[in-house]
Amino acid sequence: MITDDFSVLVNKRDSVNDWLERFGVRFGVYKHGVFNEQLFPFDSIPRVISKDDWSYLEPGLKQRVRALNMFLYDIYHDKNIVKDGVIPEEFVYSSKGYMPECEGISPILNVYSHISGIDLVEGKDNKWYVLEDNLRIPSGASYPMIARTITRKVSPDTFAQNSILDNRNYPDLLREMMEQSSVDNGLCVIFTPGRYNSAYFEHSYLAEKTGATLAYPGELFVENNLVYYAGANSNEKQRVGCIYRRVSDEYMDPMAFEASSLLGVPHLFESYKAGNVAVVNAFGNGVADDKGIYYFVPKMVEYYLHEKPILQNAPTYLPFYKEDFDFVMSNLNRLVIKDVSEAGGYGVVFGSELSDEKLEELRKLIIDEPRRWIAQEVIDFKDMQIIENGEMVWRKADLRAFVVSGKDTKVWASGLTRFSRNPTSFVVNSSQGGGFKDTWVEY
Amino acid sequence: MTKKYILSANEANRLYWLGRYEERVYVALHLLRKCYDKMIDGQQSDYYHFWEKFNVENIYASNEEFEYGMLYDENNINSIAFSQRRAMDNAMELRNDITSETLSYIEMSIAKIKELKGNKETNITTLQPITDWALAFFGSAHQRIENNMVLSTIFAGRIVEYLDAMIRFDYPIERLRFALEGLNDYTDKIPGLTDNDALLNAKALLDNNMPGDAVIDADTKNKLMFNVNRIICA
Repeated sequence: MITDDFSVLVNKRDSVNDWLERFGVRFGVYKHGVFNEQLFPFDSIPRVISKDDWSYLEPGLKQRVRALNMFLYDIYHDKNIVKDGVIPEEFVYSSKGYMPECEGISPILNVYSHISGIDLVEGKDNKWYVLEDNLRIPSGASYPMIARTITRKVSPDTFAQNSILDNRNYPDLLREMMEQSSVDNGLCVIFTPGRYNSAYFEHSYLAEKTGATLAYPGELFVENNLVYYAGANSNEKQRVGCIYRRVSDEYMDPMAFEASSLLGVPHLFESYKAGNVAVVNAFGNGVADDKGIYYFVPKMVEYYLHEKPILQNAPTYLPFYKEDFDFVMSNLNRLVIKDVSEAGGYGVVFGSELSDEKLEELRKLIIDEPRRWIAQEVIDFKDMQIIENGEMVWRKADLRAFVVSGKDTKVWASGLTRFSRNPTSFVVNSSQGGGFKDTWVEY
Repeated sequence: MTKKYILSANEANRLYWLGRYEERVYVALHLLRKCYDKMIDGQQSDYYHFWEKFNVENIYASNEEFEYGMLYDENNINSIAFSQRRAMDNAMELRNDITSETLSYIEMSIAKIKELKGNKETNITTLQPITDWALAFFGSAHQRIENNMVLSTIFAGRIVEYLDAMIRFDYPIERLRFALEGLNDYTDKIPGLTDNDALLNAKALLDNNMPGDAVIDADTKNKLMFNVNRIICA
């Protein structure tokens, strides 16, 4: 049982925020080219997921991620899903995330998406809808994890009196996955671009809690096709078996991808290709978290697993298809339109908020490049209570669930609940000023 | 999970300077308390003597400016705020090495300095938490850091900084000798980062300057500073 009386947590929110500040729980934001670190606003009223809902979400998330991993393997090998006409090839090979360099490469354990962040919302119809699959570098798990650590200290009775699954095991899930993936029992490292990355707190905190080494640009090198961590003295080095990278594909190896990258590890891709190091998440995942591919995920579940999809997408239309195109053109003023090449809440427009002139501009863009856009029904998702300036108010919130895949696929019994601080906005991204809540799962 | 048994160059550098800057905060507060005490009964220009020890030009026009500047002026490389910020710059990149709990003492100091600076508070007793948290930082490091190389590099930095200050402020030789012996406990664990010649030179300079309560002459002082600051190559 979980009560809905959160008054103790509400009353102690200043204390919780003091502890968050003490532990340096920050989020970096670039605005007008200037980097600023700010505390990630935490709201102490949790999202509660009932036992019943979790018994629906957990297998649904596992199923979805298993299918996505099978899709990635298929796309970079036999391409049966394309050959069988389930997904048009235009959606695969024109995707910005598709990397021809990955053709024929089998990652360790055949897993591509080791850490998957699946964004969901709960509609006012009490149904959960998947909004996005984040399979490249999903971030955010550390925030509810440290918030839980702190709220348990600040209000122990709350946790003694409620049946809440402990979420502080996320580092254990990561550690187990990294150990399983590590080649020749080498060092497991979290590869960070450095402190000016928006999620740097998370990189360093996860390194601390998993026991992995936090590696910075310049600290990894390849010799004889093996990856090493460089010691302070020129003769010191230690073999690396697994790299949990927090750097995008294109910057990971200047010899294979973006030649101007100063962050990358020269020749890393060759070592990865030879199976000498695991890269977590694998290269080339962007093709599966493309907003256009999202439409096909329920079909992937049926195709690869021969199961009915448990989780449902938000009703989505692909202007690429004639029938959907016509529908979108006729209903543009009430749909959400998303640019598939954007992320982080950018490239999302609500037709209802556009002037006639802007609607026409958008219409032209869709006509010119139908593959670049998807349209969705506006999900009337449940508002959540937050405290803003001492007042209890209602705001839009989503849930990012985390699924960790090594030898097995496991769902973390928690998640990052992000909320909009703007009363009229559906955009909850932290990069756009949103805050976060802990996510309680009832047992 | 396979343990890391080496330090990277960047990591060693940050650990060493973390130890130095955090100790610099602690020592500077200690010396400032003494200096402010002297200023109570002394002349307007008494704080000049403090500056002389750092071999830098005085940039303040009055006792009041000096008091404020030594605490909060981030452009003054000898101020508390400057040293604390540099300690923070290093510490935040070492969270996984030093633990969040150890890092939190520096986070709290940064927040406190910001608050006091905002209030233009120059009564040095209000900075007592900074001193307490510096000690708590080292205590927490000692208790929580399991990697001997990590711990030794921080504490080697701490002792080098302490020695540097003691030489500048003419502490008795016996105190220096004692600190240098303590440094040995840490350099033994980080041989790859230790310049043994510099260590032996520093010891020889102290051994040649008996008895223990002697004040070191200027030439020896310069040589000692030179060697002490080269013992750790990070």
